[in-house]
Amino acid sequence: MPETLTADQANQLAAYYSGIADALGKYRSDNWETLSEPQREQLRIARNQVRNQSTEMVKLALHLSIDGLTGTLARIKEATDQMKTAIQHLHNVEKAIKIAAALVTLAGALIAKNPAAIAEAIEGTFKAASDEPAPANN
Amino acid sequence: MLRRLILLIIMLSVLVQTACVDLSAIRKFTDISADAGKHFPALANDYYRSCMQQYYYQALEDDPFNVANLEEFSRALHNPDDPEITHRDPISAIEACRPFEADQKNLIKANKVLVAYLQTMGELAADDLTSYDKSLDGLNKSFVSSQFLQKDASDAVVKLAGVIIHAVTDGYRRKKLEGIIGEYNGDVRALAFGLQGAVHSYLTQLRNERGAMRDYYRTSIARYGDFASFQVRPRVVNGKPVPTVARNPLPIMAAKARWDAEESAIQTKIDAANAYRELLNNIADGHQALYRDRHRLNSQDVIQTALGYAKTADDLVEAFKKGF
Repeated sequence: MPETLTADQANQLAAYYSGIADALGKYRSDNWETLSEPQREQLRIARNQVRNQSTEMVKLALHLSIDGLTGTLARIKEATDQMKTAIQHLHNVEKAIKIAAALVTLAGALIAKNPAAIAEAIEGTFKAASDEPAPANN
Repeated sequence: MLRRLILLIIMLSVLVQTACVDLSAIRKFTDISADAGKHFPALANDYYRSCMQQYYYQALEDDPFNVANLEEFSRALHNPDDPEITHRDPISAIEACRPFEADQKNLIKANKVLVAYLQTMGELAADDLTSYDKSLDGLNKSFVSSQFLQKDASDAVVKLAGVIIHAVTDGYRRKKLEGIIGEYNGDVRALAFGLQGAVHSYLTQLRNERGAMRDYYRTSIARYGDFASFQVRPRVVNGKPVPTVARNPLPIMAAKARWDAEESAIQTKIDAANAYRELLNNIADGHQALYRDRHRLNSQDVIQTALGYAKTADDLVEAFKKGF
């Protein structure tokens, strides 16, 4: 029987993304003096991509359910929480951009409702946040 | 004999008065909730604007002196089909935000059904049901085809629209109220929770708009700092130039005042949307309480319960109307 992502869960995902975009924006602002102009620009683009993906998920939440995603929601939350923490303690702008890129890939897989791509993208987000292997899937 | 007759008249009078109190309690709850629902289109119609404003802030941060681009955002906000819109940024924004326009219309329809149902309940309670909103006719087909909201909420829209129409055309009287509350409790709750989810989505969208707004002001102030520092001549100390930074805060104060005003405007909307979410919860719970006691709607404790939900609704309506 297919699992279902509810509107509430899609809203939660949208909120995770919005939070990550906020964290990227704050990181860019707090480190303005030390960032080069190309780095500021890369972060601006990455932050906007993540924020706009959040809006895409808001649209998704307004429509009928998506099959096959509920089991992965907890894992997505774990990944986005880890990313948010990682952004707060970043010393390396390249990592922030990698995190944003991983999130955009994950959002694309979610919106395309592709379970295999979603699973792969979640592992990618863990890797981007930690640069270490993803924790074991329960 | 006369004494008995007088006593009977007094007893009947007390009974009628009690019945009137009962009716007013249920009607008060439904009328207050329905009144707030009538202001809901202002909230629903804000999705597209909020989304466009998010993209506008992003475009403004990226290319602040592109006047044509910025003008076209204003056009797009009022008419996405304006043929004069040619710049890439507003077009991208329209593509991203346009789906909200259709969603807004469906949300307003779904909410209208909930409002009409509550009005029908109130009018039935007062035995005063005479008409219904004719726009509910034919709603069933258009709503199903839109694939909007979760399935149980979408189904509830169609079923509740049906019972409202039947109630009027078949001349339902007050005694039908108990049966309707019993049969449609699940649908009322599904629709209220479905709408609640949609308002949750709106709140997330407002947070995205607020995030883009903050990004814009942070970058603008930082860029002004860079620019102003560039304008300041280096101080000469012991014959050598010493780098310095600009210290004139006046333009920043003006920007901050505007930033604060925009923060406050968004917060007012967030507070109002949260109040509407709670109101939908209050409707679902109030209806559930009437469902539980539907066989004894005239009893004092049920009246008090209905009045309690009416009071909560009244407070939430005030909070909601501050934003919309």
